[in-house]
Amino acid sequence: MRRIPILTFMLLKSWVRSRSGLFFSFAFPIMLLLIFGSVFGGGTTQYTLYIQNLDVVDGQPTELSQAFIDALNSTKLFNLKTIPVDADPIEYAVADAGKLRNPRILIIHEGFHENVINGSIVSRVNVMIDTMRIFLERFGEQMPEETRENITQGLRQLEDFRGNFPDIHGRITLVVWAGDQAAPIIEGIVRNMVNAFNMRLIGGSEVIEMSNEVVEKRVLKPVDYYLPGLISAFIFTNGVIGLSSIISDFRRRGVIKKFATTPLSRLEWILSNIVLQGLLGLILTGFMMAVALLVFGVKANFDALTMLVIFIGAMMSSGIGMMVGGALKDPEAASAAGNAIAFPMMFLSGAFWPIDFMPRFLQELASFLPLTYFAQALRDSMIHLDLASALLNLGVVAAFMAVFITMGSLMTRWKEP
Amino acid sequence: MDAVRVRGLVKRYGDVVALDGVDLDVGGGEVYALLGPNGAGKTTLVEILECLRPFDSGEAWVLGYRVGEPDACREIRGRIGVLPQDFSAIDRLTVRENLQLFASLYDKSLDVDELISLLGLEDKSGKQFHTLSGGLKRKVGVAMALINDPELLFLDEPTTALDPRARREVWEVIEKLREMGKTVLLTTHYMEEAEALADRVGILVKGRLIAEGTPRELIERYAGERTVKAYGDVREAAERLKAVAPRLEVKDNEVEVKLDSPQKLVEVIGILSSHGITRIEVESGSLEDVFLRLTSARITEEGELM
Repeated sequence: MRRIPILTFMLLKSWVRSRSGLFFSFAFPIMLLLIFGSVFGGGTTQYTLYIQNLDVVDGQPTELSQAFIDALNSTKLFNLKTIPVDADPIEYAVADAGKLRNPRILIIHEGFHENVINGSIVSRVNVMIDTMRIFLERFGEQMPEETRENITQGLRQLEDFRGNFPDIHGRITLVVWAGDQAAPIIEGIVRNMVNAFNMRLIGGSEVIEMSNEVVEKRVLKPVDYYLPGLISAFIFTNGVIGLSSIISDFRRRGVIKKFATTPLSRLEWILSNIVLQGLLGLILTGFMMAVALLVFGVKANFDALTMLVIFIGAMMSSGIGMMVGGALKDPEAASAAGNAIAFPMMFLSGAFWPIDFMPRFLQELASFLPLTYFAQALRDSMIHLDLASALLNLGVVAAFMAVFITMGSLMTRWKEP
Repeated sequence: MDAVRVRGLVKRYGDVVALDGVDLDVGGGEVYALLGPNGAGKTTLVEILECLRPFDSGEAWVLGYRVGEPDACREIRGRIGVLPQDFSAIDRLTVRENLQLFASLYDKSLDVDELISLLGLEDKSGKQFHTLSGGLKRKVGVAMALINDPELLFLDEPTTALDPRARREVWEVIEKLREMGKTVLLTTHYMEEAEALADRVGILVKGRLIAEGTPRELIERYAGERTVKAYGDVREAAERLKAVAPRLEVKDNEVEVKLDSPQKLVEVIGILSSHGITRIEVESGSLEDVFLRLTSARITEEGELM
């Protein structure tokens, strides 16, 4: 066992000098972090929304239509663009946004202001009528006959009054394109705004009050999610793809045979390679966290538990790499097999997006994948600071590790047939 | 005690018999060459002795440890040095780093710097292994095989695929091993390599050791014929030569005499010189003739039977 430190050190030296190894294991993950972080993490997402306000009087938008637009704008969720009154809205938006962008269009129809005012009067009258009816039903019998008659009279007058107003509403239309994944989100926001207007205009108050409570100890940004996801995914691919091709290359070129003629044991050889991957995992994590901190201001937690998660996760991954490298002598084949194992797992294990986004059967599949637990354990310890969950997930990773390293050892051929 | 002792060794790969009852003795301090074409079983035999391969029957001892007995291989591995066939060290480590790494694997080892200067690798010691030429790579391989100061070295095809100059350099290194008193068991398909380096040669064909001895003994035994060629006015001399060596051929100014035994050589040359003929060439047999005689075949440069 005393041979492990120097062998690990020398393998590390050799590894560091390999440019392609450095690129795929270090530069590539950092590039991806920068891309993911910039695409999804640069502040809140804004959706472009084209608005055509047809409710115009003397060239000026009406008061309520403008208020509606202002309210949408105040959510800061939209980048609003105006379509001129006389333009065909779809033609204009497509021409402005380009065909591929699928512009979303909100049209405020003519008469919005007036209809909303009318509608709100009708609503208020309805409320009054309802109130008086309920009042009559409950207390009518206790009332003197005369009073009851007066109220009934008033009720009848109100109903007549209501009859003067046409039952029409202020209308808006939201145009989205089939296949636009953000459409439900935008529809939700606009509908929410409509409800708020309905509520206010009839003078109602909020009966149900909703407040968002953030379960996390601090507000998470998307890059908080990607950082541990990317780290675990790349430690995994480094172990599965990188190590398997290194091992099969050593075997093909007779380096392993040379080692086998010395007192070095098979176990020492395997442990050296696996410990090396653990160290590389820690170094990679250090780089990724530095980039995340400098570029995105993400302060992730990096304590002994995080280091343990990374080390165990890297050893679990390299156990798979030892299995593949042991089974396949051709480095190309080993690399192809490693890819075939690593890539589906990367996408299915919640490393890049929450598992809840996936269909039910894929979620079930994800619960069998070792990377799922590795990514979750790392997220727990780096971001959520959830010790119990981190330890639980780490336990699953450690169990996978034991199985893979045992199988990897059995599949590593130290003797010739 | 023999460094290597093999009795009735048999190794099969499925239906193919790779070693068909081999007996072999390599004495201490001896350079022994296993000579044979590709597929003869040379590497199989050597790798069994290195504890890299199991075998089916027979017995083998290396440095007194019986191969296959518990713990024997641990003792053997610590005491032997190996240059595997198609040897490669770790590509992106320097010569010195490779030597340091392998030195650390053994309980005892030679000084890395001494070893580097012993093999004349001083100006290459900082170079990464993959940048070296084929010949230098093999030299480094021999250095790595020497790192634990082994009593016995196995060199599996130490010069295959090297150019003639690089081959000579490796030969010089092997000569050095002999001077150091190491026992060397090497395999080769080059006749001239076995002839130049080996104290004794064993010819291995199709898993059988078909002949064994010093190169000289083998040539005497299987290709002892000498051919004498003389140029000049040879007619008179040819008449007298016929009595000594009946197998001769006379052309205009040339005579070719074939001799069954070297003893007649002195007599033949005496006759020629008494007739004033001084342009005389003597051709003696080689291991190639031995091999041809034994197998009716030659070995190509690539090691294939022809």
